[in-house]
Amino acid sequence: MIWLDKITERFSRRVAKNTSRRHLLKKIGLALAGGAAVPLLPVARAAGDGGGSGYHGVAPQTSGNSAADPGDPASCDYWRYCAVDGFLCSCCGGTHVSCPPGTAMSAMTWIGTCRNPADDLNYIISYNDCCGKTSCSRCLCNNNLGDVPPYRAFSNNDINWCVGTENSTIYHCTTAIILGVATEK
Amino acid sequence: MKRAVFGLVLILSCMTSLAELPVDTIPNVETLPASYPDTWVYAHDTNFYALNDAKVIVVDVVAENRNYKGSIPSSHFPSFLAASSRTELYVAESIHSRRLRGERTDFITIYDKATLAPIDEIVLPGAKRGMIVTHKNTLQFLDNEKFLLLYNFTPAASVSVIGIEKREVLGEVSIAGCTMIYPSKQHSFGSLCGDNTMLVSHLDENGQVKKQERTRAFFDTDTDPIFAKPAVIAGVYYFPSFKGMVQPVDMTAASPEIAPGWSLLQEQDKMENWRPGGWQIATAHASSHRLFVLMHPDGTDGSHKGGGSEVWVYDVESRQRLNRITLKEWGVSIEVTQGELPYLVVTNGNMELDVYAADSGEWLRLIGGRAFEMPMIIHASR
Repeated sequence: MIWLDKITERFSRRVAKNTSRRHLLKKIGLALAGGAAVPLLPVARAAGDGGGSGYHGVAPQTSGNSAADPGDPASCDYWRYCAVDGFLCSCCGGTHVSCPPGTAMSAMTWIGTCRNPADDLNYIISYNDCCGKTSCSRCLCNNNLGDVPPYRAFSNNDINWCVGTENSTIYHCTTAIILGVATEK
Repeated sequence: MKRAVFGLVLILSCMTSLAELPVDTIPNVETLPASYPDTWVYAHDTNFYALNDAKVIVVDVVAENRNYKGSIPSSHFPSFLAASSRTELYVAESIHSRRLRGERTDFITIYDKATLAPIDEIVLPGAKRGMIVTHKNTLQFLDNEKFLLLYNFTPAASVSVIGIEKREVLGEVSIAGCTMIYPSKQHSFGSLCGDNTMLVSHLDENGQVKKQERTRAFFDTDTDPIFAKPAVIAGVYYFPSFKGMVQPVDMTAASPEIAPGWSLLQEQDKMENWRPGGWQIATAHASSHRLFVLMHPDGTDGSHKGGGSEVWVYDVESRQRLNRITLKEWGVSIEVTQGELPYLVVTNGNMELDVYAADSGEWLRLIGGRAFEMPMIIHASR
């Protein structure tokens, strides 16, 4: 959720300080219309400030294959995070494709479709939660491209997908795993 | 000698003007009224940064000080509901036997409104309670608070029916492919489904399901989904859509009537692409038939949870917009108290509560000081 705590506080203060909110939002809209690969929602804008990941005290990372999989997996505007909701495992001892030590990866997930700016293909992304430890609390990120209410549960990012995980339903952080290339947009 | 007399007078003077304070009484624990004023709300704090330690805070939104009346604890992704016909509060929650791991137990804890202390619990079988970021419609009453209905998700979706009088689980209703609980004024409840219909489950007087039916498809998830968080006025549910339509569903009869949808937007609003957005995006002042919707301009795919800069107020009978309230701070969730002089309570982007006069839109006060980590949903006292 993009308005969460400090992130939105920064957003609100910046808006109040610099310009009218509507003006800023129009700028966001223009950025989208200009073909940005991810939604430049307030949290993403906050993440984009000041270089690096934008999260205070979080150093940037790479996917390990920057040419084909560009961006910073410790930043909310990394392309795979277009429908993520939660704490980024890249900031919590895991990576964008792995869970931190001692947690369990949820078998059930919600699914997003995100465009990779490197090859301009739409990929099906599985947001597997990592479970069994208390909230990581680092790198909170919420983007909602294609998210719909829970009557379509597997396209909804509000559900705690740790419900199906053995031994603990406690949510810790979220990964963003490629399942394949989407056959239709 | 003169100095000694002066000193004695000074001491006697001090003794008479600063009397010794009386001894305080211990132990000393506050209590609340058994029935709360209509200016009190329950702030449901999801506490995302420590999810297994969520809570519900009782807040007086009109008091100049001592707004924070008390709290009740809850666990991971809980549901909350306050009774109006009895002095009880209900929290549906789950724990593990070794705190964050081990055997899972689901239960409903019952709290007394006056003491905010637990008075009983109902253990729920099957470890199936739905865990989702706070929605009002995961825990609802039916039949004048005779039954308590709880949403389950494993991901098989179902609803547990609980008898409040005997505090026992009576049965379970499958709502496969559907979500949430929208009670009718009769023995039935609706659930929104992925095929754009509403599933209606009819219960008998013992809380057992006796019939289920589906409405026609009345929304389109692919082009303009409706939010699963409606406002309710006189038994009619008003579901805003992502792009600014309102879909009324009349639940006063056992079988719902899908009323014609209408737009929140005027031509200028459409040009500026205003849309509903936030978490609890809609609420109502029931007795005056006013619908309140949290709105943002320049909406895009994905902006539906982003919050808003204004609250728009509608008369649902005339479908006319009555007011545009420009918020002091960016809003995330909204609620309106139900008294004759209603107050608009807004969870703002700093995760504090802003209180406005709902009729005029005048900002009145801020309630903060880290009272809340993340008050996702505000429940007006009823």
